[in-house]
Amino acid sequence: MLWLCLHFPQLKEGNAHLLEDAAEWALQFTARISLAPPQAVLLEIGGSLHYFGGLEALRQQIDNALAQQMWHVQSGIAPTPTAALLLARANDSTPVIHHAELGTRLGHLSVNTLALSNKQAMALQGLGCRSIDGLRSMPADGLARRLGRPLLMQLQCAFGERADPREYWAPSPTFTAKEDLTDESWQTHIPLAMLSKMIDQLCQRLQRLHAEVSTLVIELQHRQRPPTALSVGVLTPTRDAPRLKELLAQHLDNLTLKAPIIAVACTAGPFSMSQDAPTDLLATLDPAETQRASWQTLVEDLSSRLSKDRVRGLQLCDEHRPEYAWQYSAPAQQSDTSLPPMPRPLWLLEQPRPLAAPQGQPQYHGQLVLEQGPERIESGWWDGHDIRRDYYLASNTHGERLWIFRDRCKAGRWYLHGLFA
Amino acid sequence: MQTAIEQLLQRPEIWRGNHTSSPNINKAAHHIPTGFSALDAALPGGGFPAGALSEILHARHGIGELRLTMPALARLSRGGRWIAMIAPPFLPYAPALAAQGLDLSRVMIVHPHGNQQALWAIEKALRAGTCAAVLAWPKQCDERSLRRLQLAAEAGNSLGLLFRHTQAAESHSPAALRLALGHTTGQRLDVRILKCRGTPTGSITLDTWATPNATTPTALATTDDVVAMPSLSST
Repeated sequence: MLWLCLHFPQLKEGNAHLLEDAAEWALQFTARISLAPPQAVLLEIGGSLHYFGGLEALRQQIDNALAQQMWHVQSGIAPTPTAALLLARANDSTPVIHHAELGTRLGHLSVNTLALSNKQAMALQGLGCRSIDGLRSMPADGLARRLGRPLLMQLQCAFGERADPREYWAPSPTFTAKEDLTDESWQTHIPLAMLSKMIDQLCQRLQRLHAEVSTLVIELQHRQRPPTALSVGVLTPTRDAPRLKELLAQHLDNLTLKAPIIAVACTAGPFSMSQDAPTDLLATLDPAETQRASWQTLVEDLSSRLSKDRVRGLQLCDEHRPEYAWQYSAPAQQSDTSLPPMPRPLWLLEQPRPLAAPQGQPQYHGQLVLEQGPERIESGWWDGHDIRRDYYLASNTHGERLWIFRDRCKAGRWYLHGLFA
Repeated sequence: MQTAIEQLLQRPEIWRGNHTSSPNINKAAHHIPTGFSALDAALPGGGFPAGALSEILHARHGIGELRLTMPALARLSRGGRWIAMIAPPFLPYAPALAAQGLDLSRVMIVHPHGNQQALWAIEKALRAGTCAAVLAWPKQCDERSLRRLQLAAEAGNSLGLLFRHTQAAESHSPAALRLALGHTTGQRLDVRILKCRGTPTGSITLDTWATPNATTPTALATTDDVVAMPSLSST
């Protein structure tokens, strides 16, 4: 094992989330990362050396990446995490590769590189002990008695004389970001720009975690009103930033603001692991797959602009009552139900419409002629929506063909229920 | 003189009425049989023009305006792409659609809020390329919108079917095909071809009702519709 410690000397206590940011950034180099609060992050790079082409190449890449981050950071490399930490605190970036070198390399470091309490520092000063070598030359039991066992353990861990297990950090499977506007805004283009930046951050993060997300919750916050919440959803999880931004823009287009926006927030998660197919140069795209992808894009586009319950599919139900023989469903649902043997109209009325029937002769745009029927449908006594109807196929002189019924529950009144369009 | 005409005819914005297969309208060169042989015979190319807008004008609901499109839709729904119905005036009744042979898992119903949203949704669906056919019932549609929809249908290679009131026949339309429906005695559907790319316009009568309740699209497509109307009890 080889540990690289990144030490942030200017980091104040209570800024633990900045350490997490650094840890997340470091995920590009290794998956085994451990936080050493308050100021350091430890990276186990022994497993990454081969992939990155050796220690020097890896250090070069880490230095390049660090240069972009504008962090004030000191680093140290050693076979034990505590030694790496000491080297980083001492700002000694020459790597220690072998355990045997630890004695000489750590020995001359100042005792202040150890995590000391004020009392311990005072005591060491009183003893005239300035370097780690000095500390090591003292009898262990006396040291433990005077300065506490933890300091002794720290020292033993640094030299590899004691096991030093570290808990690996796991990235949070959620994303939260919030930003205030400099000015109240009735317009959505500034909030959109800010949210777009958050989506970029989110997608970068998803990329690193090899994860995907299917819903974003966007909050537009107002001064004296509850925030406006928008839910931007896709049918299959994604980390495609342009797609998410496009959907968000549609949502915002649709929105009528009731109050100016003062802040925006974006939350997402928990993430799902991405199911990427391996990218194969020779494999051709599966046409069924691309087709599926593009109908989902259309459904997402339509439902984000019109709202979800306005874009639906149809499904058959096993039911004799005409109004219950079908239902809306999510698009692309299969249904396998036998069809009624009698003709059914292509248009159904949402509610049967009463028809005038002077002398018992139903009328709709003129006198109706009953052409076929009756088809008696009696069902549903068990759920309170029972019907007792005689259905007929009727037509008038305008060429309209109608599906009408006589309600035997209601004294034989006539109703229009569908059109054979 | 001859060469001047030839040059003129080479221009891409000019298409010749009696040349449906000329290369500059190659998008529309593909046609979708309606499944009614009399209508297919009357239409240039033998069916609805694919990748273009067609208008179906009718004064009343329930005269057979949807049945006219059912055999074509039944076949399209089994081709992998979708059938979208946008802003239908009534509930599309699933058992009847299934009985006409449509694959319901490929049917998408969209209820936009207001005419603006409807036009947006129609254009989106036509342009997406995932819909084999888009049936739409816009409340109003001016010429500019129609032109947009026509371009969208070309871009997405979708069959756009707009159902509009007969009054729309008076205004100009960029649609590739315009059919006006009326009825004649004996429950036959009177189909007048107001506009098409190709043969001169004419009028035929069809019996859309004669389509049996078959569930296989091939059976629908081969039905000969100009035979005498069978008795209703046979359905």
